[in-house]
Amino acid sequence: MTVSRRSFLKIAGSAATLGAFGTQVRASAKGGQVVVVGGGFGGAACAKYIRRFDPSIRVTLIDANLSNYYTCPFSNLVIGGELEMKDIKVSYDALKNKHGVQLIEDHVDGIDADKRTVKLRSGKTLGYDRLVLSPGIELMYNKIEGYSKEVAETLPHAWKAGAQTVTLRKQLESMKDGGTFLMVAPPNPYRCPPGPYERASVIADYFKKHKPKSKIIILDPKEKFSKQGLFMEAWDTLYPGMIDWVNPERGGVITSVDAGSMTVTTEDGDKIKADVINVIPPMQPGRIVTASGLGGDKVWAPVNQQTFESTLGKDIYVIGDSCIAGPVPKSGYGANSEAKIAASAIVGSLRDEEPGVPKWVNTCYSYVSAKDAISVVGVYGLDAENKIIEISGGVSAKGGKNWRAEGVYAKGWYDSIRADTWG
Amino acid sequence: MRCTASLAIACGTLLVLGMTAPAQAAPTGQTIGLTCLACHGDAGQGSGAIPPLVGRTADQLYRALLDFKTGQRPATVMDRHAKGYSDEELKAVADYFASLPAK
Repeated sequence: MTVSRRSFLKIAGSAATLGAFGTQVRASAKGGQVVVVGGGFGGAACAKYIRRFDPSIRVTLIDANLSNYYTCPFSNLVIGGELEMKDIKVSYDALKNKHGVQLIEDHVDGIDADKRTVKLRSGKTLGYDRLVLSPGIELMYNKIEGYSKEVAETLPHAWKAGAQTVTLRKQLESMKDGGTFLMVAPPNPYRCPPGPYERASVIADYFKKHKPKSKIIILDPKEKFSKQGLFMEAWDTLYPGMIDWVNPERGGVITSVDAGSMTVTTEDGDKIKADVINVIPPMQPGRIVTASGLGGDKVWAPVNQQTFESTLGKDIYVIGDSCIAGPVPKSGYGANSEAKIAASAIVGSLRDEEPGVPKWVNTCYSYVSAKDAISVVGVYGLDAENKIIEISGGVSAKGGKNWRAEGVYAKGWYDSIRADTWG
Repeated sequence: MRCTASLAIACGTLLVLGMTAPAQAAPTGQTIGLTCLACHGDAGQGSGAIPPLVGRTADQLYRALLDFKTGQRPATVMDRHAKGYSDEELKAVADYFASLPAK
């Protein structure tokens, strides 16, 4: 039995006839197997929503870190001492038990797009009808002389929440009052554009309360940064004189780091010594995207902006930090929003239906102290050439009158997006 | 047609958000509405200080969204959101949330 698109929509449009809708879906659905690689905000939400749109589709989620996953959003509050690691830990139980997503804790080492299989490190091979890649970012340690994954044990990046978050927090706790915290900020594009500056803010709040003679230096290769006016207003108001943001002109570009002497050397040849050094290196797409050539000559994966299907691999969808999504930032909310669009497109494609017209949202809160926050909003749609454009948005009003309210809303945001993604 | 016993569970899942796979010529109320859930609770029930979207009439929701759009109603983020939609889209998303079960 098949259902024409017209009658399908008619039935689907009425909540009162959901019983009929349920019957029709089963009759019209072809099922299929979707494999999702990456269990973050993009991958987990995509897996969940595919199952919610059509429970006849089998969904398998693969991530090497399922039993030890922490959210990057709110990890800065752990670094600032406001939250503990248990507060940002994620459970995959609901995806499995409530939504029927099959979970595999493993690495994906390769994709065979012709045979439509993925190869797991354990040696297993999985077939798919549609593949979703949401692997986030990979840190490029080798772009900074003197830096490596090993050196990151001493000079943490803390840009993937987990053990690195704890390392940086402990270093800040042991630092003496009057010490210097130095952050090496990353070049564009990178995960979470306001993240480095939120981090500096909550560390400043911690210093203000516990180590008020301490200083913060941010060495930045960028001329400007996300929510800059609002961050600087907050820094001047809450922590006058504590944070020194160094732009490229003043020596913000570094050439090397040295963990032995705890110094950073800038392009101008200056050597800056600090007590705690946070090196956030340049970023590239998650390894599976790079390894399978899905970035092409663009590095980040080009995708059909209506569906998030790769323009270089049929039936492979790339969402979240790894893809090119025009003005949508590399954020958890962006990934969650893209996941729903891709989930809808995938369910539609398995039924040979045209994709719907998408619309995305991003809302990112950043704390400027342990209790106060600012936000950036974006509403996105497609232009006539199917490119993603920002239709509306912008940052909070200046003056700080909504800081406390946004600090409270940010907590509601966090609980909600966690539930929407993994709950 | 009615939900048969064997389909009751699947129907129950769908009932939570009135899920369908959207495929229409403009963003549907559901397409727009699903992006609201990242802040307003995973079933629109609200989250902490962020108010619920379910349990209100379509007219209440539409009026609130229009007031956010015109700036008549004070807001932290909702004014920036509401300006991103046509009145028709705001109506569609208001209808979507009004059709969902109140928690």
